[in-house]
Amino acid sequence: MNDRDIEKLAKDCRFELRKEEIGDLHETFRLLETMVRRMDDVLVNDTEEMVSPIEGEIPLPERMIRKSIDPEDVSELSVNASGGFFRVPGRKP
Amino acid sequence: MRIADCRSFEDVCRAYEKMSALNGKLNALITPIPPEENPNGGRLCHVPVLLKDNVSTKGIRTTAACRLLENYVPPFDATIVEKLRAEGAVFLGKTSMDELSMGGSNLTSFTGPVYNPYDFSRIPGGSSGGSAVLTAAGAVPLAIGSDTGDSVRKPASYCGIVGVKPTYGRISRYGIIPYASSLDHVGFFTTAVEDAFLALQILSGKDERDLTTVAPSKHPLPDHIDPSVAGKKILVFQDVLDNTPKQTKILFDRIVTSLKEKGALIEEIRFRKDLLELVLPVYSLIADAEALSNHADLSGVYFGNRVEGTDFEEMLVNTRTAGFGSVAKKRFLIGAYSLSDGGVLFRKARKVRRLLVEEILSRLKDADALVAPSTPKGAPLIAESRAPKRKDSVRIADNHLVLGNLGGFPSMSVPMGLVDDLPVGFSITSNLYDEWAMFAIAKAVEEYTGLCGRTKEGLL
Repeated sequence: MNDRDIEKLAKDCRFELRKEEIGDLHETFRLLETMVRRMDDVLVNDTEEMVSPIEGEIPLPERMIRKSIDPEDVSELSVNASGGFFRVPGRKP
Repeated sequence: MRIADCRSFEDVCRAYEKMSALNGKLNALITPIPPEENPNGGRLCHVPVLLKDNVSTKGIRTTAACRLLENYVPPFDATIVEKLRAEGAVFLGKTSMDELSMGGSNLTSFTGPVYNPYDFSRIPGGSSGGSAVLTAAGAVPLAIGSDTGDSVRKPASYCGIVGVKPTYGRISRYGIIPYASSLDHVGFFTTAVEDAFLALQILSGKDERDLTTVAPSKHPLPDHIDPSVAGKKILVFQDVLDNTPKQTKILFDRIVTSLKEKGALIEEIRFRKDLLELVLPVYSLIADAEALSNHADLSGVYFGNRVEGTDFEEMLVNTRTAGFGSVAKKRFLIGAYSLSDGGVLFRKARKVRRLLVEEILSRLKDADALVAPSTPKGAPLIAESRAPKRKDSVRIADNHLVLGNLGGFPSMSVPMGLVDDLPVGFSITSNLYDEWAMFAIAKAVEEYTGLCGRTKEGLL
C-alpha cells in the first residue's frame, strides 16, 4: 500500500494525515496484508452462513426474534454519543 | 479497599480527597465529580464509584478521552449509571482512558498518559487504565470500565486487581460511547472477587434500550459464588504458556496445582496455531470497521468541537483532523481498509471469527473454564509501549484475552502475585453465561493467593 492508497483511505474517513503519520502506517498495512493472505489459507471451505453470529452464541436481539423480524433487515440501527439505537453489522454486504 | 468498608458519606468524602491527591501522581481522571449525598439506600449505599469516561452521565462532561468530545455534555445517563445510582452509589469522577477505547496502554488520552501505581514509568494498560489505577491505589472499591479486546482484564493484570468482562449481553451498553458494537462489553474493577460478583448482579439485566441484552429468565445469574471447584474441569491454555516467561509460569503453575488439590480436573490443551495467529488481525479488521461506522457521527455538526471550514465538507475534514489522535486515526484507516471493495475483508474476518469461536466452543462445551496468565509479565515501560510491535509468537501470550470478546465468553482476571515487583493476573474464561464456574474458580484462586482487598499502598 503506497502513500496515495493511504491518503485515499483517509479521505474516506474524512480526515487528513500528517506526513509522519502516513510514514508510520506502511508497516501496519504490510503486516495486515500478510495476515489477510493467511486468512485465505484457513477459509478453505467457507460459506456465507459463517458471516452471521449463531443464535445462542452472540444473542440476536430478542425483540426481533419475538416479532419474527428477519435480522437481515436490521442494518441501519445505530448507537452514538447522543443516545439512540444500536447498529449491528448487516448480514448482507 | 472493599465495598463493605464504605459506611457513611464521610467515607465517600475521604475517598474523594484521597482520589484527588492520588491523581496528582497518576493522572487518572478526566473530570472529578465533587461528592453529593445519594438519598437512595441499596447495596452500594455510601460507596464511591468511578466511571470510565465513555459512560454517558447527564449534565457531566463525557469525552471518551477524545479531543473532538472535549466539551461534550450528554443529555442523558447510561443505563448502568441509573442502576448504580439506584443502589446508592456516589460517583466521584470520570476516569481517563485510551481515546475512544482504542488502545491498550492509556497513553492516548488528550489529557496525557496515565501512570501505573506500582511503577510510574510503566503503563497501567488500557483502554480502561484510569479506572484500574484508582482502584488499585485504594481510592475506590468499584470502578467501571469497558472491554472490547481486553481493556478491563489487561489493566486489571497490570495493576493487581480483579477485572471482569461478563458474557456479551449481560450488561446494557446503552449510553456507552462505543468502539465496536459486536465486541464491546461493560466491565468493572474491584479488589475482591465477592465485590465483583455483587457488581455484576447490580449491573446486569435486560434493557429495552439495548437490544442485545439478555433476559435474566433465559440465562439466570447465580445468587452466590459456588464455594467449591471440586469436579470442575479446567483447561490450561498451553499455547499461551509456551510464550510465558519462567517466573510468571511458576506463579501460574502453583495456582493450578492448588486448584487440582481442591478437586478440580486439569487438562492441558492447544488450539489450532493457524487460527491463533489470526486473532489480532481478525479483531482489528472487525473492530476498526465497526468503529469507523459508529463514529461517522463525530462530525462537529450536532455536538463536539467544531473546526470551521469554507463549506460542509471542509468543516467535516477540519473537525475530524483536529479532533482525533494518531492512534484513533490509524484504527479508522484500518476500518476503511476492511470495508473497502464492498467489505470483502470485513466479511473474511467475520468468517475467521466464526472459526475461532467454534474452536473455543468445541473445547468449552465439556469444560468449565480455560485458564492462562492474563499477561506474560508485568506492565511494560511507557517507552516500550511506544516502540515497534514484537513478533507474532509473543503476541499470542499478549492477545489471547481477545478471544473472550470475539465469542462473547465471560472472562476475568484475578491477581496472582508479583513478578519482578509488578502484578500479573490469572485469567479465567468460561462458556457463555457460565459466570457460575468462572467466579467459583476466581474465588478459589483468591483464597490461595491471599490477595483479596490488596491495594498499592505508600503512594501519598
